[in-house]
Amino acid sequence: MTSTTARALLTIEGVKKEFGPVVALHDASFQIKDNELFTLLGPSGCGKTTLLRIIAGFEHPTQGRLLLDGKDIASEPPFRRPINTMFQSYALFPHLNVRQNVSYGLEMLKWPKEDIDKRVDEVLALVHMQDFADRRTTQMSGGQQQRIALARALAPKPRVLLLDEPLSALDLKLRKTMQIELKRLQKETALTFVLVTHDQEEALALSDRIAVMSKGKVQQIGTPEEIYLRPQNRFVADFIGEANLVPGELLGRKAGVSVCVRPENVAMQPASKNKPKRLQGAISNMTYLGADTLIEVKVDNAILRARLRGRPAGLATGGAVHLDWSDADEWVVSE
Amino acid sequence: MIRANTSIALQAPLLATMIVFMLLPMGVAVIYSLLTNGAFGGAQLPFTTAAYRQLLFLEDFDGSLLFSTAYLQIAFRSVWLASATVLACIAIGLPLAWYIVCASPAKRGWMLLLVTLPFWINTLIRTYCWVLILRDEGLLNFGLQNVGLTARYIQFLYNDFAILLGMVYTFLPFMVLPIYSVLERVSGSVIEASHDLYADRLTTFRRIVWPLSKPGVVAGSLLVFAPALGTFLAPDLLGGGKRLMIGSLIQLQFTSSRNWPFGAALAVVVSIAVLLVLFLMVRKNFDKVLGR
Repeated sequence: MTSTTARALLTIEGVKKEFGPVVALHDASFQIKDNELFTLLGPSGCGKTTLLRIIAGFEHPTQGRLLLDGKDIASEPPFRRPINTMFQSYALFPHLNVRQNVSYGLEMLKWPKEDIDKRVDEVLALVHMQDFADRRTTQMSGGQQQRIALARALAPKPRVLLLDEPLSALDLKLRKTMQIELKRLQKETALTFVLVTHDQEEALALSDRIAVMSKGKVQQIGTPEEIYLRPQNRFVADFIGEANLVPGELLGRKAGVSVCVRPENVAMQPASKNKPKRLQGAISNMTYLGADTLIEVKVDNAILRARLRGRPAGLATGGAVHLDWSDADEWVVSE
Repeated sequence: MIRANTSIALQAPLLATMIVFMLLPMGVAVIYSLLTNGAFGGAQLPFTTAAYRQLLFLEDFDGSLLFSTAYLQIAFRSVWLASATVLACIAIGLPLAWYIVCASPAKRGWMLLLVTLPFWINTLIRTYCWVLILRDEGLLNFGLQNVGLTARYIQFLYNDFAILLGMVYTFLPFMVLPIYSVLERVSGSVIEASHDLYADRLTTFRRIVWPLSKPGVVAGSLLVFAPALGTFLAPDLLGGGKRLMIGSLIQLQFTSSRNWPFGAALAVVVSIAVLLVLFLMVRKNFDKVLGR
């Protein structure tokens, strides 16, 4: 329906946040494009929530600019920003029913009554909650409350929708369903979503682009493929999926660098007379996982992991093996 | 059967307390109010409704009854002053409670301590301190004259405003604490959600904070109104004892006036009035209070 334009919707320019002596966010600078699902990914305390709260307006940056459609909004209060948030705790108004919750923002924007009613029905249908309009929110399940919170944030058609750990409170199965739902909603509504999560799998599954954050710094920004296949540093390689970080010396490269290769890209053969193409080691552990077998191989002092399909024949714990992978699957990362 | 017995056993201490400290004294008051006034205080048989008649009628020398509004006026003043106290306590207590809730947890403890600190000192002494502040040669007049704002003293004491001041001062904690306990459970993200949905601060207060604090305001109003209606310290000390409230009137009947049945009748009427207000308010807010 929509063509992805390269236009920058939200520009974060040298944004820094200090809480007393603590620097929560170092000099973040990047752009979020129109209609994209952008994810801030990182472990707790990495600054991702602080950045989200700065975009929402609940925190003001110590320095830096925040441009929405080219206008600096860094000092605007949250109620003057066309940005809505879906809170991690949902933050539904306990004294209002579902319809009143969802229409709240529209009333504040002084929409005409009939437009409000129409829009509320529309967004409730979007999250499959149209039958619950007159219920109280306090007796609802977590999944239902979450849909209401999403509908409430979607209703005013914000320029940017912020989602703070939207799926963290749901159980695994519901989480998977809601991931697909969120992706569908983002495509259908053609809105810009900015999502905060610590779950790398969720980030990879949902995002158009991801900013990986650690210790208040943005470590890398890219598409899920770029982040996964071409991590720029050790932290990103380690945080996203499983990674072998082979010390450079072992592969005849200069010391101090690591060669990153994903376990599923490592090929393995029982050691033969031939010289190994890359590395030789001994199997220290084999774990059968059903679809795959995870094999740990000790090479000098390093442990490498390989993930092979099914149950590979001819390999046993203690056996000597040759390890290989294609040049396209390896990637040198700095410390 | 077992469950029913357990339930009674669990309620027993509460029921016993209510009976011993509430119903029994009130029963005694009802009985006294129906007795004849003794010559030197106390009460004696036979039973009579004379005390209740005295509320509205004056007995002339020849035994005929004259309608009198003297006590009605006192009752009206009491209700008015108690209501004004409630309103003033809400006006001060709600923002104060909200301010405390918003503070950091460490500060919160200190501020709650400050709110409850007056409870540690006798009410009589605290009320008397206001006399020292407000009297003609008191702190306030002394300060005003020294700053040069006033040339001679202003009489702050012995009017309804002084009584109101003393009552608000005495009963404010009863308003702050229930509102605080209600607002404490409102998560800050609800306020942020309101701001996020384009509501400015005033609208957020009107649409979110006020409705959510209402159960606390209702509880606080009851806790302030009932004792405010029966108070006699503030009108005695700050009102000069000439501007009577029902509380002072009741107290007078048991001391200098020595008319115990009339005092008891007044007490019974006030108790019934308070219970009636309480009943109406509780019934109105029944599901609201229980819903939370």
